[in-house]
Amino acid sequence: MPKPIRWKGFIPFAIVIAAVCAFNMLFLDSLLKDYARSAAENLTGAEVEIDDFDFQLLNAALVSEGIRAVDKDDPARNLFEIERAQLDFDANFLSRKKIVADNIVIEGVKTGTFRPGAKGVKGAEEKTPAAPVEEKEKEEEKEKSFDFSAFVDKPDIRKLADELNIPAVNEAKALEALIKEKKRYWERSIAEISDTRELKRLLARIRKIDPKSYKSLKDIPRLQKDIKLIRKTREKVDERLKDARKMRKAFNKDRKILKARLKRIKDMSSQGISSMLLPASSKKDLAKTLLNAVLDDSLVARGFYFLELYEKYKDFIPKIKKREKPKTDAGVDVDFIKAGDVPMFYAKRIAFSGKGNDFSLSGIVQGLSSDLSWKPIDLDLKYREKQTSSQIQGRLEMKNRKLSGRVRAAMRKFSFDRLDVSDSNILIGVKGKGNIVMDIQDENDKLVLDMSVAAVGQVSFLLKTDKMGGETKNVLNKLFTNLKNLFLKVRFEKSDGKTNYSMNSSIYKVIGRRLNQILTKRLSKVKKDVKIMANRRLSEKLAPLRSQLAGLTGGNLDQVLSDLTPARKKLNAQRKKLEEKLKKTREKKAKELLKLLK
Amino acid sequence: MFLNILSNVFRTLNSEETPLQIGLGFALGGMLGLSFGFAFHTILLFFLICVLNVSFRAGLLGVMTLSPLPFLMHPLYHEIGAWLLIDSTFLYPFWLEFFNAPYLAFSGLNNTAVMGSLAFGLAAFIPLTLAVSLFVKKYQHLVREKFAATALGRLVMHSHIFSYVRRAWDFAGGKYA
Repeated sequence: MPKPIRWKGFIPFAIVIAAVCAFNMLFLDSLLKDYARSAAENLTGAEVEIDDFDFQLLNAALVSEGIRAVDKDDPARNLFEIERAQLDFDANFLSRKKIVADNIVIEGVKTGTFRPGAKGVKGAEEKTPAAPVEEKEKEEEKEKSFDFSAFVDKPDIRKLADELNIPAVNEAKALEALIKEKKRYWERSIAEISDTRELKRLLARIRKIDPKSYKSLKDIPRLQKDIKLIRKTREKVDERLKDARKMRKAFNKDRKILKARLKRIKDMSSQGISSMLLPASSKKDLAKTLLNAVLDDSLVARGFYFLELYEKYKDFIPKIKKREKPKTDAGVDVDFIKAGDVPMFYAKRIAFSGKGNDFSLSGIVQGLSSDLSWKPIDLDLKYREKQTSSQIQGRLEMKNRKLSGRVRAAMRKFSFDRLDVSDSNILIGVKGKGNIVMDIQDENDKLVLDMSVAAVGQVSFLLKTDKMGGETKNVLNKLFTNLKNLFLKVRFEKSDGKTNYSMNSSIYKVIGRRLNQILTKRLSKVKKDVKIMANRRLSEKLAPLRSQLAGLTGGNLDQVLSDLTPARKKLNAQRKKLEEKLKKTREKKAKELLKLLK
Repeated sequence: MFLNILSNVFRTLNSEETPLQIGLGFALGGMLGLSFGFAFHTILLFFLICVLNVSFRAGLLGVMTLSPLPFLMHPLYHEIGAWLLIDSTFLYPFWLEFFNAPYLAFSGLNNTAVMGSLAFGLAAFIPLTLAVSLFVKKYQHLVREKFAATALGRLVMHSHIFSYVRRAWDFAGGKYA
């Protein structure tokens, strides 16, 4: 019966194990470094660099230096930078593939640091490498600074009026065309009715008639012819008088219409100026549009960015996978290790500290773990700049496999100068300081973000000026600079897959009031200028019309009428006289004939 | 490769080891060969092959002959592993304890394919041991003993040439290797 153990067999096994250990000793640090880097990249969503990584198994410690996370929105800067981080872990838990740290010390934390020679960033490599970082930052600040003097230029009212579609001027132009047309008509009509040559000729013929010339019976046909002439002339005079009266009536009607239109133009030029320049309903829309552009692109977007990070963190909650078909030939990993009684990562206490030229950071995070049901996280972080101070306090925990928590982030005298990343066509940022308080509540499947921003002192909005007209620049400059008593409250709720967003702000009120003041002042000036200019232009246009109208007062007609009326009377008298004469002559001749016959 | 395997087969069959040693060695090597990827239990199997007094040559033979199978049997491994790790909910408490025990978290057995390959190997261990032992026993009985009983066998086995070959074989470690 052979012996069950072959002692010589330990030799090849020991050789193999020794080889594996030697490999790990040589490459373990770099392997862990890569693992830590990829984990950090998954967490931040940006490229992470680690200069040095030292895993000390015997000391149960991990020391890393030079950790930098690139800001994915601005690759020329680091989202954060850590000079040194030390993690003292419990080796017993490491044998269970879990990291339980008694203490983590993170030193030299910096945020937003410049990355000299950043890859893929234009300008960073083109500039001379010897140029100091401060100079580059100053140049960047200079580029970002805003020149408000570009706004100040006086409005050209005449140009403004020409650009505007003023109805009164349009109406005047239409009236001018109508008057010209009427003028031509009445000139022709009055000329026709004023033509009395024929009547005068007939009157002249009538005047030549001598009643004494009818002496014998032979004169009767001539007498009858003359009477006929007189009758015909009288009919013509009557007809002309009738036409003249009718025409004067029509002329007066036209003049009345033209005068009414002229009056309407004057009314339009005085009363409708404000509505012509800027409709009242657009004031609020204008302010709302501009403000939404600022707020959505900067403050609220920042809030949403943190919410995204928060929700991303929730993905670390361990879940046992349901059965699924393997996508690769590597099988499926089931998370029994994650789902164990101890989370994959747990840090009892993390102490942060960092100090730069103009800022300091300190704080403690207690109970940070990959599984928040293990223990709640308590946050207390403070960040101070020269004038600004920020504090994050709160607690996050898991109850019944659901995350709940309340976190408050407060920033005092926060400088808005950094919020200059707006994609708006007009607004590029905010200049000034304000107190910002953000409350995040995640309870009972309801996620709520309350953010309030209160301006400290005066706040100005930064505007793009390259594509604006001088007048627009001037108005917007006065409207959006040096604003006082501004506050903004934003509430974001996410519940049952529905998202509600509400906003309350004094900005509408403040800017609306200012807009009203500016518009009132500007409109009164513009109204006055435009009125004067419009009146002048209208007067220029109406002067010849007035003279033409004055010329068309019916003088010729009156003259014609006055000329014709006595002629008519005279004609009537003459006709009467001639008829009486004729009657008498007839009677006399009749008597003479009777005598002769007797 | 094939000649190497064939040579190993004949050297194993003609070694002085018992059929059970050869069968156990082959079965342990077979389990190693059937294993999916490099997991904690492969080191353990290698350790057993080295330390236990089983045929090392048969172990190597088992690894060489059965190592191509995991690539073909992956879906089966996954099914077995998924049944054990996911479908069998009554095993959850056991697995939680198992995988959260020291060092077992590194076993890689929470992977369905790895767990399936181990389960398949364990299931095949006893049948493989018995089958190989029986085969070796039959071979030794039929080929070695009966051949030696024949005139030709006696001639060969008792010849000087065979004696020298046998000494050289022993010198080269064929007895134990």
